[in-house]
Amino acid sequence: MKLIRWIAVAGLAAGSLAAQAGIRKVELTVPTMDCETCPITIRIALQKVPGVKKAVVSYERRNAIVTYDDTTTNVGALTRATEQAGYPSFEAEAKSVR
Amino acid sequence: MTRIRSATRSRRVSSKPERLASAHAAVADDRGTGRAPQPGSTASLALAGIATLLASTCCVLPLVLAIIGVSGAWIGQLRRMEPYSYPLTALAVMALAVAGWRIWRPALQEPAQCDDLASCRRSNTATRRWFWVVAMLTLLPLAVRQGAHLFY
Repeated sequence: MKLIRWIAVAGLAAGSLAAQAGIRKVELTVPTMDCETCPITIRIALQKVPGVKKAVVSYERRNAIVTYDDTTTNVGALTRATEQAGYPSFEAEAKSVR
Repeated sequence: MTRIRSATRSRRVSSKPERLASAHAAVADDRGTGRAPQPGSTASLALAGIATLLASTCCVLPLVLAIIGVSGAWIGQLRRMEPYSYPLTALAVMALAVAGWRIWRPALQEPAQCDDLASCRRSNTATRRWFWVVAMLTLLPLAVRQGAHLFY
């Protein structure tokens, strides 16, 4: 059963840009990120979510690009994490993720 | 002469906590550890402390909370303090400067009524210690804000 799931995940990953199975990238828009320390706060909050591999926060673009393991976490948990740190966020349009 | 009289008057009209502080310092004076704090230095220090705490509410506090792992939707409300952050920091620095001046200003025409260096000081040890605590509280958030981009 586990093997079937792994094959399915591998198949999905092969079709996507992600190199590893279950690893996804999402762009979150954080409109209220408007102070010097905000990006650090958001990055720390995102990195504390189990399953997050990498979080790159841009102050200029007011966004966060998060690399996460979708078998462990999901976008809802990520937006909740930033909101609980004081900065509500939303998933950006998928095409803007590079 | 006028200076001494005005100092006496301002001491008389000083608030209750200051009077208590003076009384406390007077007790300490008997032991030769210090003298009464200059009226106003305690008030300036308190003002600086409150101003700097309010100033760091919007931006530095959420970072501290994120680091220690405290979370909650209420943290988003702290952002409301943001427009007041820089004015409050300026106020804190000014109040700190006033307190520093009151503690360490040069003793001009000071009547020589002290036997040793410790009793010559106008402020007691606690006031000077609080000055440094408030100074750290003011300068640390400022440094964090200025150096934040290094951690992006």
